[in-house]
Amino acid sequence: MKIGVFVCHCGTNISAVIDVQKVVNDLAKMPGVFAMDYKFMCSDPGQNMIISEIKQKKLDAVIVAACSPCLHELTFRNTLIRGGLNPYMLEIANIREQDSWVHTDRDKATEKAVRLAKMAVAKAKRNQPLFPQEVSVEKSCLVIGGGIAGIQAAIDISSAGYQTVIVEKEPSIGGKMAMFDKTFPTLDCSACILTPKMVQASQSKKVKIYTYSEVEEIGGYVGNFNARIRVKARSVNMEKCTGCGICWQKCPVKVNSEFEQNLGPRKAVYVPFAQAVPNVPVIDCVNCTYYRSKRQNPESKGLCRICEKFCPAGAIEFDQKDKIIEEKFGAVIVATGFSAFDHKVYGEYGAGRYKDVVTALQFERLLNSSGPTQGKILRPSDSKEARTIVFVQCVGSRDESKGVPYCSRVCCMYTAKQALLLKEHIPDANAYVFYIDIRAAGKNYEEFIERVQDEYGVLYLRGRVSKIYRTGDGALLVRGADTLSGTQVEISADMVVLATGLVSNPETVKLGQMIGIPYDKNRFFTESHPKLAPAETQTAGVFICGACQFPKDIPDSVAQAGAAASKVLGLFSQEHLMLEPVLACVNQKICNGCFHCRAVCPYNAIDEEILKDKSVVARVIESKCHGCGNCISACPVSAVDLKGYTNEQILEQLQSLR
Amino acid sequence: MKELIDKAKELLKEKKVETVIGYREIRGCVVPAYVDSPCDADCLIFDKRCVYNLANYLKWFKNKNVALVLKGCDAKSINVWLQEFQIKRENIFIIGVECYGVMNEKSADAGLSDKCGHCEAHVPNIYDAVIKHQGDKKESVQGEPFKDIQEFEKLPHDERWDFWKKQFEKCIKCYACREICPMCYCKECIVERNIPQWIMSSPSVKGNFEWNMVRAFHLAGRCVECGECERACPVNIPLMKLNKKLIKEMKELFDYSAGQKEDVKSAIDDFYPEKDIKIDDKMIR
Ligand SMILES: Cc1cc2nc3c(=O)[nH]c(=O)nc-3n(C[C@H](O)[C@H](O)[C@H](O)COP(=O)(O)OP(=O)(O)OC[C@H]3O[C@@H](n4cnc5c(N)ncnc54)[C@H](O)[C@@H]3O)c2cc1C
Ligand code: SF4
Ligand code: SF4
Repeated sequence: MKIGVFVCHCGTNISAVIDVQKVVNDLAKMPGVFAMDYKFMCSDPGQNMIISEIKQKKLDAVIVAACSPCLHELTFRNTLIRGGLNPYMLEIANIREQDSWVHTDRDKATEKAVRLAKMAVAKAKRNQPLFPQEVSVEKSCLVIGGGIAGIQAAIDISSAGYQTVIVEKEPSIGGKMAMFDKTFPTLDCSACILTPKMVQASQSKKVKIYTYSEVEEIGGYVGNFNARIRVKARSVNMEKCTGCGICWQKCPVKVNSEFEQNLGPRKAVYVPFAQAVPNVPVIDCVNCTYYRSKRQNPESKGLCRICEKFCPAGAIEFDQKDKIIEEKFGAVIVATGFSAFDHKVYGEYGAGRYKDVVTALQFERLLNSSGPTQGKILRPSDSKEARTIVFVQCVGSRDESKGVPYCSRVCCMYTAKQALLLKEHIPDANAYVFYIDIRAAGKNYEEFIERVQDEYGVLYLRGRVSKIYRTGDGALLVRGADTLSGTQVEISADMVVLATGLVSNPETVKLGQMIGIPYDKNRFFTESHPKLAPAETQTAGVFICGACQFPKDIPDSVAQAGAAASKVLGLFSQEHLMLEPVLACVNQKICNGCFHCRAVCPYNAIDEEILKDKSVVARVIESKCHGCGNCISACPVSAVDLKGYTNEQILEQLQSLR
Repeated sequence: MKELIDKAKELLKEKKVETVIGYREIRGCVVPAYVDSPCDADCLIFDKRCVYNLANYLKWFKNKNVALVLKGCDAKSINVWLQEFQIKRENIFIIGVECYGVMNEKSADAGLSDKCGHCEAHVPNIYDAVIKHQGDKKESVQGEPFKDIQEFEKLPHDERWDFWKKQFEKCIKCYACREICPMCYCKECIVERNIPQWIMSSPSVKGNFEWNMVRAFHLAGRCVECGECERACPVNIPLMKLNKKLIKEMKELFDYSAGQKEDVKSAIDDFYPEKDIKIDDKMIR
């Protein structure tokens, strides 16, 4: 085997500390090794030199002693291809980041460079040509979550002509944005800008929407995911229903509406809000009289059935069953949004006991003209108009002790918006905001806050609220610190609005494990690079956008949705994908079938295979394997190896150091 | 004894199993017995001379239906085998025996074996039938189960090193410890690999260190303390001292003891940094 070693000066980045000539001389002394140096190996002349040496000296493998493989491994792999070699016959000895940049002693650094290059030679001797596998791309995208982020991504992908499926667990798409009255900083009406998007998505021939549905399983790999979707029984026939609304007018059962944040009622058969897409109700089996009577006495005909009697379209179908849909997708976008922090853990704010201490989402509904109070700001306890309102920021944000160390990013802004809207509804109302810092780093955000303070006269107090009491007359006494004037303040308020932070969706962990994408310690999905790949994940073909990645406002969610969509379109523009061949493989002759490998594989890439002698052994599903190497360290008999980084190669490298 | 024999006969007669693996006595010595037919079952015995961990014999009965006579300590091995997918539960019938200690084969005064000192598993934690103990039930010695290890840890580094060097010098690489260990079931043991060769095959001090360390590490979170390796070692290396050290670490760091249940994940399969990493001064030191 003939090996060429090409040592780079990297201008003076390497040669200032390392005696390049000595490295070349020492390496050239090794049997079967040819060595030379050049100023910039990655330049065109440098690469051409490698190519001509490969051809002239009939080299079998190439070592480039230069910078980190993160930078130029791909460059030099292509150089090898142009020289007629398999690209995986390349080894890089990183003598810059791991040597010249971190050492000053010239002799020792040179010695280290020689050793690094020798290790690379030892490894290259056992390199095998590897061949990427080609897979086809199913040109259809699954979007999980139909909030603004998911809707936007679906619209972008479908307008480029590709099929998109939105799976939304609620009866309607829209997400949190559907609950708001107005949006900061421009105060456009939330419904007026959201509804057209919901309609656009639902009317597009390229978008299929499964509401009241959940993704139960996802398998496969980039270009070829298989998803199992459970479409829950709605008890209403989607085709027949005209959305006339007679059923929910007639239904006698009233329960608290989740969409109204428990401030108003809904029926047992209901659409969550007037502009719901699809405008088809669902029957809530838990509270519906018919289903309850059936559960008590399965033999009976069942009570009530009023909706069925009145429905002019005959759309009520009590015997509907969940439907399971299996579909193939080339890409997946996760846009499952956020949940609001549960403020019950704050004992000092009443721990949820006081009706008039409401959350920001509840207040959004009170402000909303289609909300439970038709936009009148009435306090929940006695429906009296609230004239003095205290807003408390950072409830469940920036509070280590409550497990939320991060800033939720939008609460300063929405609190300002809510205070402003209060003043617009009731001009002589008093609004106080307790804050720690004001974070308004967005286009026109700072100006918005200024306007709220100066034009609308909202009083901002810098400090924490230490206690909220109820006094005899039903008012709330808010005690807090004003750290700017250094005084304790007490405000008697009609209502308190807690700016509850944005926390991750409770299903994040389950979903992340199912799809095989990581989440961080706050249980938000992790992007594959915080700066350079904000919409990608570690798993090829799976993208994230919106508040499921981290709290963000609508503009940022929409922008990230567009980014995720463009990545998907990039994927779909290819007919075939080449998958990296650096993958695990099992030596089934010695595999014990203990399946520690399967347990530690984050990508579900290990399967069982039954051999002729009936023993069960492990097999790597190559298309799923990412070559992370977890299985290799877990295998007690070293039956698994990583192609291109075999145990034998690593041991050879170590032994070359002796 | 009659209970045991009757059970074995019943299982064989009804063809629930092909073989019953138990203990019998030959010329005053207790040895393992494979019983294939009901009429041979009368030879089966159980008393405190029944030291062997018969779970080891499953290595030769992997896909067969067998019944095993198992003590509490031995039965834990079955849980590990199940966790590691080596057998199917329905293929084996466990005749658990209630046990209050077996004798110490190596010591002349014929007291109880060391491993019985802190036994918590007088009745197996997995079984299909249990044979009750006859006679007096002497409870195990109470107190700190890892006392000897704690004492040893207190010794200076050099002293511990010398201790093990002396012990491993004795090793003749006969691999009796491996052969008798129910957990050492690999088709090809790592010491026998030659591409690449991880462990020197000659019985040199270095090779012996490598072997004994690898053996112990491969048992971390898996060793059920049946004590068979130490008993089988012809040169009397105190192998349980190494095993117990790892058992102690597993307990302290991961709150994990091997073989407690069949339906929990094995320690190596169930590692989540948020849950499992407890950094204390001891680890940094
Ligand atoms: C009180 C308040 C006021 C706000 N006001 C403003 C404002 O004025 N301006 C502004 O720019 N931003 C505002 N925000 C921020 C805004 O809510 C978010 O930026 C936006 O909702 C993020 O959109 P999303 O699609 O990522 O998430 P969401 O809106 O949370 O949508 C996620 C969707 O995914 C669905 N889903 C979740 N899990 C699953 C699953 N497993 N399977 C299927 N579907 C699932 C959910 O049901 C939901 O429909 C406000 C936030 C709050 C809390
Ligand atoms: S290297 Fe092993 S653990 Fe990693 S993805 Fe491949 S099969 Fe799974
Ligand atoms: S860990 Fe190793 S021995 Fe066990 S099943 Fe996987 S490849 Fe086979």
